[in-house]
Amino acid sequence: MLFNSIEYLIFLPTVFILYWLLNKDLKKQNILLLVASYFFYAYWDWTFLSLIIYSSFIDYYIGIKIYESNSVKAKKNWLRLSLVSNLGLLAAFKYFNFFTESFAEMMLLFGWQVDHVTLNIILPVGISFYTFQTLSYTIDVYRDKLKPTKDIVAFFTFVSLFPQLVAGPIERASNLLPQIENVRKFKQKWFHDGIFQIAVGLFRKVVIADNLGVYVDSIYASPDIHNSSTLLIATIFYSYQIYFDFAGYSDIAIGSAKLLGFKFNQNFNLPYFSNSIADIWQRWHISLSSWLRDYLYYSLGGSRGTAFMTFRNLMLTMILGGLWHGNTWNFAIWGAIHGLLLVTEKILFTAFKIKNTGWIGYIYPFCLVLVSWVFFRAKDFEAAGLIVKKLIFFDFKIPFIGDTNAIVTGLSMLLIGMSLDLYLFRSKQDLETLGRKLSPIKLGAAVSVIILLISLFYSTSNNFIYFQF
Amino acid sequence: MDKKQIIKSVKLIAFIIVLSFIIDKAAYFTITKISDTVFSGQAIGKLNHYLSIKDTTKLIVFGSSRANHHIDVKKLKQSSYNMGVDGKFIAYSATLIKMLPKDVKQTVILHVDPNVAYREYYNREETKTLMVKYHTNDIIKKELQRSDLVNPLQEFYWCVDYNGLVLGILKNAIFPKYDLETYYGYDPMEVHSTQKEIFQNILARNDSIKCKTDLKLNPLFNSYLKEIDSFCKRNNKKLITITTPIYIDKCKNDNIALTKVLKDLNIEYHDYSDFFKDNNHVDYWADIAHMSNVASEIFSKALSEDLYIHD
Repeated sequence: MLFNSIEYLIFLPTVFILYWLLNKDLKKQNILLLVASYFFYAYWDWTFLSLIIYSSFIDYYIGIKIYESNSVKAKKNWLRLSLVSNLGLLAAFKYFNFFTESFAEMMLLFGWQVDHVTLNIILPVGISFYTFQTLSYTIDVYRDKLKPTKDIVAFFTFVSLFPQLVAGPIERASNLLPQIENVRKFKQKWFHDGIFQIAVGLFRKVVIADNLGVYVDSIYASPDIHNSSTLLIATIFYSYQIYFDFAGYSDIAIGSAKLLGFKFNQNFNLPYFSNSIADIWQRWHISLSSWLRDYLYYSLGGSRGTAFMTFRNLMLTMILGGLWHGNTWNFAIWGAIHGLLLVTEKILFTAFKIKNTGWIGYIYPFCLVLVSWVFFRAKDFEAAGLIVKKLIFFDFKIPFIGDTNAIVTGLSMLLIGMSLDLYLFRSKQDLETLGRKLSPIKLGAAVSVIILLISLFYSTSNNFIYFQF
Repeated sequence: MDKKQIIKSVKLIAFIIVLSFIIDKAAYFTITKISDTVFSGQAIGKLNHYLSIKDTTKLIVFGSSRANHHIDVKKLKQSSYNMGVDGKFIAYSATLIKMLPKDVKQTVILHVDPNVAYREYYNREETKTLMVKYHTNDIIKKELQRSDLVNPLQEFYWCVDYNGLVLGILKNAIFPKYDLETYYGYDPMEVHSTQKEIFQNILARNDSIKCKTDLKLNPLFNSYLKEIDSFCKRNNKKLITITTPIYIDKCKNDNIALTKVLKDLNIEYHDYSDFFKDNNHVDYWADIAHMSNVASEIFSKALSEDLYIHD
């Protein structure tokens, strides 16, 4: 079920009412959440529900086993089993074809023709998200940072809670599980925040991102026929499309969770107002970047070793982080570019003792990230290479505009979206704080205006971009 | 959740629903007022213009951009209008044709695209722009309700009717593109350098085209075609269907099949796809499917001589 669908507009209030009607019985409330979450997922494809149940069961059981084991070796073995089960699932469904094709291509480089098998596998929605979520649970239990739960309903609900099930935020067990296990209280302020955040999220997604996507899709479908100016505009649009798409999704997820009395962590914090590449990664898809930092980068050694080791760890983390998004080399390159940028920045900042990048710090990260987005969006490596080449050897020709109405709508809405972001940035607050500050009258007026803007400017488009990951 | 919280929450939701409804209606009537004065622009202006001239015009051309940019209707008849609109196909045309007056003798030239006729997926999505008249025109409302394009929230939030069109309406209200007195719907294409470059790049690509062999007439196309034919026969309209030239038509199967369908329905059809086959020139084209203004003038003159429906 999509957040921007009529179905969700019926689903959410229904769950909300039933949920608070049961607020005297935590067990029943959690069962309702679990059933609702499975329904939410099954509405897309019920067959893949079994994977979530499988993943939940494995980690529920392993979590207890790790905790009960007396020896480090036994704990390690249980953790290995969890890693193999979860990553195996991910490898089978997401990376099987990528591995076999890449292997065959590599062999071809050495002159060996290898027949490879490709399977017609459908990627189960949200697999990358819930796999990471359950993994973080077992790793935390292994690291003694978390006590495993024995409440199976609570654990299964933690894995599948519908606001974050298909595209995150990747909530840690340490934050979410205690909230599921303990009685939630309805908070009026949270209710206000939730409504405001859902409305803004919808605006960001269906109005800004989807309108920008119209132009981006048409240009990126045939980059070979367009000139540099056109491709530059399309790439700039894409950088905002993906931001507003995913930030909008996260807003709806966080807002929906708040209506049910859950506090999710912030997932985006105005990333295009970052003043360095490292800062971007503190603000972009925070739940994933912090996951990669805590469970991959630190596991590889983090910055504890030599400078070379630190850079190696950074590169590996970013490349694997890139591959997490998708099973093509483009995503790996996207990750590698970010790794390289982080390493270079670190070297330069250390060598020249740079602490404050000044106004230039607000420009260069966006410009560099822009190039990396080409690899994220282009349909294949060849197309990405062509676009980057055209952007480097800029031809200064008149850009192709296409549907003027669509481009003007996209730009106007982008202006509104960026103005809100600029206001949040300058007033040093986030969307939640802003929502909380609004009186019921102001909140009602703001939401009504957003509804009007959505009615007038929504664009019908495909799924949320991050669904494919 | 205590009683006080329930009351507060219900009040907030009720306030949002009422206020958003009021704002929506205020915006809707304001936009409608402005929209009704707009007679320029493809989405609204042309529709308003059509509604104002449809009862008194003798010849009207319907169809997509290929009708709009290719047929200089004044070369065919003085009392004429070109109602071709970018990206609009048979469902859009059928809805407009059904609004023509009954028993007034008129000629309807309908541009049909064999490629659309045999498309596997054709969901009449282009009729969405007619939504602007959803709450004010019964024929349009009825036609749109037949499709699944009507948003269930539209009955409550009327502004959805103007989705994606508001900025265009405002722009055309403030800066009208052309003079209503002299405009007759024909928009010849002047090819600018970027477009020329894109077209040349496409030609350089030399993409291979796989022609469909298993051709099935799209059921929606078929149904609208029959409806148009039936409407014209019942209401004193002469229906002529045509296909305007394209740069190269590598697949002729669909043209042949459509010719047969139209012949079986006893509908007059002229296929000009290969009009420039023996005298083609890249400068005649804006892209593969659209002629430049120069070529359109040549074609319109020939069409006029061919159809011979002068005053």
